[in-house]
Parts: sequence; C-alpha cells; structure tokens
Amino acid sequence: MLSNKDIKLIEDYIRGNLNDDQKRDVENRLKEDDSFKKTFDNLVVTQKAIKNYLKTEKLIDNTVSLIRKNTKNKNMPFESKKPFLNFSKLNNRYYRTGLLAACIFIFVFLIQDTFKDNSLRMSESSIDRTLEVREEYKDFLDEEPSFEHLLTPVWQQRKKKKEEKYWQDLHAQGKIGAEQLGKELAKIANTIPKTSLNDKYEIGFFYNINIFLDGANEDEKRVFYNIKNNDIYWDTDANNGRGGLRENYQIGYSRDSDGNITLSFEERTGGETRTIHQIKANIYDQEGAWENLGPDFERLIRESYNESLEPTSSAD
Amino acid sequence: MNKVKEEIIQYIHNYKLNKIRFSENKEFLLKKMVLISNKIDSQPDYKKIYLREFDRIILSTLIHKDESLERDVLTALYKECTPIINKIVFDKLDDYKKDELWSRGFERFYKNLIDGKIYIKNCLIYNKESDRETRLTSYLYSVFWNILMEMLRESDKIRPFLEIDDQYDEQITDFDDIESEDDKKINAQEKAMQLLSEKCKKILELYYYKGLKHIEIAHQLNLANSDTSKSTKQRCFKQLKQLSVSILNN
Repeated sequence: MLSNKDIKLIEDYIRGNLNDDQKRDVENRLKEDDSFKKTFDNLVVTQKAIKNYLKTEKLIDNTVSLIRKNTKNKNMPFESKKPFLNFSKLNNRYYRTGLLAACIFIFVFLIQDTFKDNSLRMSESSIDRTLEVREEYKDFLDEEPSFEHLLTPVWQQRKKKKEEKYWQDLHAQGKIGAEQLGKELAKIANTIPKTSLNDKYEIGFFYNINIFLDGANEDEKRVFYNIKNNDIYWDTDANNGRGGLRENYQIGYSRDSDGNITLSFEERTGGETRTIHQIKANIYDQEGAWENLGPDFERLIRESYNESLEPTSSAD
Repeated sequence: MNKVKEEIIQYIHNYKLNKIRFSENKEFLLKKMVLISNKIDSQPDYKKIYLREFDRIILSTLIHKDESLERDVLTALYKECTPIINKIVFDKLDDYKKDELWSRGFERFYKNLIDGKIYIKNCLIYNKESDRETRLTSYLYSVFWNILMEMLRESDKIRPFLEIDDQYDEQITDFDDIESEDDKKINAQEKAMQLLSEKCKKILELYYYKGLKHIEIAHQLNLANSDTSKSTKQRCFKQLKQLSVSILNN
C-alpha cells in the first residue's frame, strides 16, 4: 500500500507539476516498485477516462448545437406499410414536382371549363350598363341627366299628350292666349324624343328574334320564320343554344325623327352589306303592327339597365 | 443494473414476438438501454434486434429532436462511431482531425436524415440513393470514409491511396470486438463519470485535466479552503472508482 505522499507524487507527475529531477525519480521507481507502477497505471487510466469523458462531452455539446442550428423539421420519417400513406415520398424532389404539375393541370382544366360556360358573356361587346350618360349623348340633354331618356316611345307620346293637356288647360282657364298655346303645341309637336340609346344598342334589344316577332304581322313573321328555318342564315347552336344569326348575317336598324323605323335583314360579304329583306314601320303608330312592341321594348330597356327601375310618377 | 438488463431482455423478447408497439413505457426503457449501451452478449439471439432497435432509437430521437434523450443518444452514437473512425483513419489523422471527422460526418448524416435521403425500413437504414438497406454503423462507415477522403484531398499532403471496399457489407458492423483490458477500464470509468454529481465532475476536471492546485480549485469553486477541496476530490475519486468497478462487474 502506497503512502499518501507517493500517491501525491504520482498525481503531480501525471498532471505535469514536477521538475526534471522529480520526474526522473518517479520513472526510476516505476521500474523498481510494482505496487507503485500499479497505482501509477490506474491513475493514468483514470486521467485518460476523465479526459475522454470531457472531450466527448465537449464534442457532444458541439453536435447538439449543430442540431439546434437546424430548424428544419421532419414529421413523417418512417415509411408506412400502406403504400398510399407513404409520406416519405413527399421528400422526393421529383415526386413533389410531379404533384405540383398535376395540381396546375387540374386547376387549368377547371378554369378552362369555366371560360367555356362564360364564353357568350365574355365575347359580347361591352355595353355600358351604368346609368351615367356617355359623353357623346350629353348634347341631347339640356338639363341634368334624368331617367326620361329611358322612356319608351309609348311613354314619350303619353308625356307629349300630358304636356299638350297642360297648356290647353291653362288656355281654358284663360291664363294664356291662343297664340301662345299654338306656339307651345307646335314646340311640343316638334320635340324629338330624348334618348341616349344608340342604334347599336337598340339592335341589341332585337337580339332575341322571337320578341321581335311578337310585334310583326303575319307576312313579316313568315319572312323571319323562313330565315330561321334556313340553315344558311340561322345557327340553332349559336349563342349558348338559344339560336342566332350566322356570322355573315345581321339585322340592321335605323330610325328617323318622325318615328319611322326600318329593320333590315342583311348579308355581309367582304366590306359590303347587302339587304335581303326589309320591314318598315312607324314607332308612334298605336294601331299598327308595332302596337305590342312597346311594352316589350320598355321591358327590355328596364332589364338592360336595372330590373328595379320603375317609371317615375312625372312620366305617367 | 441487472434488473434493468432483465427488463431490456424481456422487452426485446416481447419486441421479437411483435407484442410491443410504441408507447411511453418503451421510451423509458429505451433510455435505459441507451444509457447502458453495453451489448447483451449473454443473449446472442437478441443482439441483432438490440442493434437494430438501437439504430431506431437514435434516428427517432434525432428526427423528433427529443431533447430529453438527445445527449444520451449522441453519446451512444459517438461511442459506436469511435471504433469506425479509428479503423478507417488508421494513422492518417491526428486526434484533433478525428474530432473534425466526427463533426463533419455527423453533420452530413444528420442533413441526409432531415432531408429524407435515409429512413428506417424493415428495421434498417434505407438509403434512397443507393437503394440499399444497411445497419446504421455501416451507413456511417461510408459517410466517414467519404469525409476522410475529402479531408485528405483538402490537406493535399497525403493523397488517398486506399480504394473504398464494400463499405455496405453487413459483416463490418462489429468494430469493437477487440477491446483491451485498459479500454474496458477506461470505458467503465467514463460511464462512471456520467453518473457522478456535477460538483464531482468539475473538481476532477480541474484537478486531473487542468492540473490546478487545491488552493486554486477552492478559490474557483468557492470552497472554504484547500483542505475542503482535497477531501472533496478524494471522496469523488473514491465514488468514481466504486462506480466503475460495479459497471465492470455488471
């Protein structure tokens, strides 16, 4: 059994705290004394173990910090036994790209379908559906814009009659003379009905040919039925299945200040337009073929603008 | 210790019979398993299962960033890898470079794991790139080998002269078959160090590793005087010895 002094000597040797003479002394004793050597060996092993342990700890500290640095998480590391639940495939770059491409394809496919459904609406010429009066029609209106310009010819005529009655009443009451009454009546008679609807717009109202035919006489109806039953002019699949004129045919429309309107069935060839058939009528002719066209016309205008729009009380 | 060992053997037996699925109890048991980390040589049938289960715990802990198990697992993995590193490095690198090899190797392994290039399949590591199933140590062997070659190329002094052999061979998993008496003692004492109190660890570190005097240790650890430091160190040293002896016996 070694003394404490000897153990201290060995420890100092191991820790490198001895001078050269003391070191030589320890090395000599190691050769001679077995128990001294045994203790020495044990202490060397212990020191090595401590060093190894501390080194490992330091290394593991560094390794742990390496893991901490990596913020990326992985949730499904293990392969599932069910192939369709194999989430590890999502880690594959190619698999992910394929999946993304499939999603885009499906998305485009669905969108394409939506475009098809709305094809009619999208291909229609843009019609200003607001109630704002466009620049080019502001000259027609001498006052602030009102809904008056939306009134149908029937309404316009009623309004004229109402105004005539107003002046006649004043005359009957003796408030104005015959001369002024004559002037006013002439003024009313010469008034061109106000409108902001251009020809193009009104043709749009005759788009549905069945409504147009509601006001036509038998001869005119026959003409249009002939057109409709003729594959050359009529396309039953066009316009979202409702039917319509073929691409090279159109209905022309014009109106003069006396209320004479002309509807013509036309063919477009190159830059020219050729009239195939024509119907003429006066829009103010209450007894004529256009009698029933009035309410339809009014309804169409209203539908075109706003369904809730009602005629103002002043117009009645 | 024996009791824990029996528990583990029972656990492995049940695992073999497919009776056990993942549970908290299992986690607890696995932690003990990692701590002990000495192989169950008395039960050679279970050795393979143990090794594979060991791989699974390591990977599972690293992936899930389980902080409670992390240090134990990394220490166990380092212990597993040390003989591999020693074997492939031979005399080509010094100790400092060996540590660098471990760090770089682990970093690459961890990156592959997180990126999903490797995962567990049939209780083995499945490498997607090579489409092979190997044990963790075999996989790490190839990783360390590649890093070593890179390091040698970087240093440009020693050209790699060895061709990589079949590093995936399942046979090369037993790296620590030859263990000298001293190695066993050192291993046992290292494990004993883990079980010591923080104060003991610190005092042994300051005395044997940094070579401080007792008066300096007393000052650094706020002890009453050098005698206190001396007696504390002796007590800790005695504990270390006792623990290492019991570990060796078990």
